[in-house]
Amino acid sequence: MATELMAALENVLKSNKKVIMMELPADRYLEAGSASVKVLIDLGYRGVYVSFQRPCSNISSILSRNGIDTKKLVFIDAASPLAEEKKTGNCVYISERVEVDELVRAVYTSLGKLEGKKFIYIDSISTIALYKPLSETMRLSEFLVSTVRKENCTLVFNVAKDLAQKKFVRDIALKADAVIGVAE
Amino acid sequence: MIDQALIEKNIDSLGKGWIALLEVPAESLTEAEIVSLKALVDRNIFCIVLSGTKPYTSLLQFYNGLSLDTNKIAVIDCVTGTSKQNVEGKVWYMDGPNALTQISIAMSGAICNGGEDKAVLVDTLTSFLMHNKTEIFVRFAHSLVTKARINGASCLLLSVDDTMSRETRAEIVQLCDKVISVHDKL
Repeated sequence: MATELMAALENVLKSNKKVIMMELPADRYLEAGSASVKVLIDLGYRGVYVSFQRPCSNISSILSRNGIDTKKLVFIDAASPLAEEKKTGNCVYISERVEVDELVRAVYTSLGKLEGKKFIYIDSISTIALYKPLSETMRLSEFLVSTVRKENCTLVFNVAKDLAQKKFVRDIALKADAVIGVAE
Repeated sequence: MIDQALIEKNIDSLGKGWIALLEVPAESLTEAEIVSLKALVDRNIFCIVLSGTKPYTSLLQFYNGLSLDTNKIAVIDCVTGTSKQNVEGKVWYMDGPNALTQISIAMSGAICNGGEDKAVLVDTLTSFLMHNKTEIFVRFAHSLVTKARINGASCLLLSVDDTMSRETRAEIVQLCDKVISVHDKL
């Protein structure tokens, strides 16, 4: 599964597609997500990892265990405001209200700190929709899409395959240059 | 019949601070809960049972019948339906399975209190989903597992096979480090 995903992502990146949606099997979501970040890092990208699901320390240690150099990533932690995590290095913590404007500012500022080929990685768009109205989720996705179209940057939206048929996810998928689905 | 070795192998392979979903057939639910709890207590892990299926008095009978060390178990009882805390501080009674704010406050106190290894056992996602709107419960589950992760506690979410919609299951599974099915083979 990981090999198939890595090959598909590599092909899409080589064809210079900017906005990518990855529909990952829920049961292997973490494994598939880590594999896709590894592809990006191995291809020389540096990125902004926006985590709505896991606190920064958790996702950072998982990626490290999977052989990813996390120094090449800036984490935006929108999960731990719920539980006050101890603050660490290359991580930007979003305040408790998880406002889209604050997320937008954090993404924009973090991108500015990176050099060379860049990516923004959203993990995951369905989780933010649990906390914010769909209009705000769509506003965030529109900002991200327009940012990567203006800059030399790639945007990856992650979503569990079983959630990919939700209407707002389909609406976001319409703006993507490529949708990668991986067999379970 | 629940394979105790399968549960133990999974717990041992996950290290510390893991989040797992354990899917079991309805008829094996109690056995799965007991086997998991025993495996955790035997590993000297303090267990916080969030019970949405059985009242504390029934649980206590089970635990005593199996000679489980009840000093290693606290219960957040969402079934009895009265708001009080017993004198030993080993059980918190909630208004009901839909009192998610009250449960969240009790859970924060239980997870953040003390330095020993802890695990939360949620019994069961199925029963909590019966009493709450899916979206609200998934948000609660997300907040619970994040709290557990940040405080180094583990979390075992019990669920009855085929009782969650594909979408709800996907939302929950995304939060987990491992999905354990009792149909898995060692």
